[in-house]
Amino acid sequence: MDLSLEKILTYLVGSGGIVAGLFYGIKFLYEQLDKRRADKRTAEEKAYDAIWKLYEAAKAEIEKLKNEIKELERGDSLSRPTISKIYQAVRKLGRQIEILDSVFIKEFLIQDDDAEKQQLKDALKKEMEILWQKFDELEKCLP
Amino acid sequence: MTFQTMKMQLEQNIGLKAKVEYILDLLIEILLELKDFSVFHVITFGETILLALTIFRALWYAFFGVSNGGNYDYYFSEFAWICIFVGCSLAHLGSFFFSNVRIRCGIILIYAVIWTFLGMLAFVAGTTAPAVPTFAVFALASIYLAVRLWHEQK
Repeated sequence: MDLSLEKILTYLVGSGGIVAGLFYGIKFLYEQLDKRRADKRTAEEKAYDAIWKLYEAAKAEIEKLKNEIKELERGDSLSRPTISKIYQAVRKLGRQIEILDSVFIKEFLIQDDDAEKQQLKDALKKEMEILWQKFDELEKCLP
Repeated sequence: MTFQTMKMQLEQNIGLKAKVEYILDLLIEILLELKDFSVFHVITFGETILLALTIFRALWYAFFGVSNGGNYDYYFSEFAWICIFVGCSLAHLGSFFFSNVRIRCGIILIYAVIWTFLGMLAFVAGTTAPAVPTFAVFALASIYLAVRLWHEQK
C-alpha cells in the first residue's frame, strides 16, 4: 500500500487532534459530573438545615404552648374560647410534627455508607423522638 | 543412621525452612513497599496496565518484529517503534518519582496519540485483525486515565 509522508503526517496530526478533542470532552464531562455531585451534596445539606430549623421551631412552639397553659392554670378564669384556641394550636402543631416525621422517614431514614451523614441522620432521629416526647408532655398539660 | 547424621539432617532441614521463610518475608516486604509507593503516588491498577501494555509492546516488537499488517513499518523502522515504546515506558517509570502528577498525565496522553495513530494505520491498511477496536480501547482508556490524573493534581 502506498502511503505518502504527507498522509502519514496527516494521520499523526489527526491522532493528536482526536486525542486532544476527546481529552477536553471527557474532562468537561468529568467536571460537570463533579459539579453535579457537589450541587447534590449542597442541596442535601440545605435539606438537613431546613429540617433542623423546623425541629427547633416545633420545640420552641411546644415550650411556648406549655407556658401559656401554665399561665392559664394560674389564673382563675379559663374561658372556653381560650381553651379552644390552645387545643387548635396543639392540634396544628401535632399535624406539623406528623408531616415532619413522614418527611424524615421518607428522606432520611435510609442507611448511608457515609459515616458523617449517618451520624447526622441518627442525631435527627433522636431529635424526632425527643420532639414526640415533648408533644406527649404538652398534651398531658392540656386542661 | 547415626545420631550425628540425624542431627545434621535436622539442622539442614531447619536451615532450609528458615531460608524459605526469610525469602517469603522479603517478598512480602517488597510487595508491601510497592503497595505503599503506589498508594502514596496515586498509581492506579489501570495506569499499571497501560504501562504494562507499552512495555509488552516494546518487548514484542523487539523479539518478534513489527507486524506488517497495519503499515506500521512503512515509514517507521522496527527500531524506531521499539525506541518509541521503550522511551515511553522509561519516561512513565521515571515520572512516578515526581510529585507532579501532570507529567504522568502528559505521558499517558502520548500513549493515547500512539495508540490512535497505530489504530489509524491499521484502519487504512484494511486489516481484518481486531487491531482497530483494540487500539481504540487502549486510546480511550489512556485518555480517561489522563483526565483522572489531571484532576488528581491539587
